[in-house]
Amino acid sequence: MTPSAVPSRWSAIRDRALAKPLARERYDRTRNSVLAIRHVLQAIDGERERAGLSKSDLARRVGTTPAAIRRLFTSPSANPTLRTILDLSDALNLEVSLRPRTGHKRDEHMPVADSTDPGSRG
Amino acid sequence: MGPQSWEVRVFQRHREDDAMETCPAEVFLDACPESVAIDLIAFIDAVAASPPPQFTGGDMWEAMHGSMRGFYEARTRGPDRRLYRLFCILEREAPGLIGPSIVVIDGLSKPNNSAFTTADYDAIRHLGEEFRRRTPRSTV
Repeated sequence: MTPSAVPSRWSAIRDRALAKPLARERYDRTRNSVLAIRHVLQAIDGERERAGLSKSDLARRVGTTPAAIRRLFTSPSANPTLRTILDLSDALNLEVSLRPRTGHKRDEHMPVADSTDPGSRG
Repeated sequence: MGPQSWEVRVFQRHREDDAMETCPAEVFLDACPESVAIDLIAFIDAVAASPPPQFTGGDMWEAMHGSMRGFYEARTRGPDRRLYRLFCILEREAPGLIGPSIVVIDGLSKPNNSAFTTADYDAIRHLGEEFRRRTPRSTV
């Protein structure tokens, strides 16, 4: 999209709200968490397609209805639980892992949980 | 992210409808507690980066039904568990908009465990009709 030459009113509203102390941190945290939900669902749906499974196939594998799966991937109000994410991942032979954000120095006191790394289980 | 981000535009009342040409959503956001305004702005920005209708954003972004069909609402909770809603209209293409746009119309708040009145929704719907009636669309 071509950015307008004149900053939009929305940008001005955002700039005003983020000018306050700690506002940027809260904004980033909120925005990133919302985007992360979408990112995870997109990744799962992409893996479903790559595996050549229909949404109905996936529904059967996790023991739910095709409508529930369709809603999950398309509904604006979908909000999957961690259990749902793990069930879908398992049905697609995927493993869930956590890793430090790119470009972010890891806190020495916070171990990384990675279900693909046997060392992290013991 | 999706194939194309959406523009976020703010509805500005036309001078023939409002001599002050106010932007109701801006007035609402400026009056919100700081944390609420930040969350609502972040939700809208996330939706814009993940174009609807594919977007799935938890219960923070909902398509509305019934008499409010055609509106979307960004939702959050503020201090004292008060609930805040920011009402938006999605326009894929419309005169006066440079592309697919989330148009922020207005907002409302209510105490927890209460409902908006018919008059509350009527007021929002009225602004939505005012927005759609204008060609080109009145946004800033």
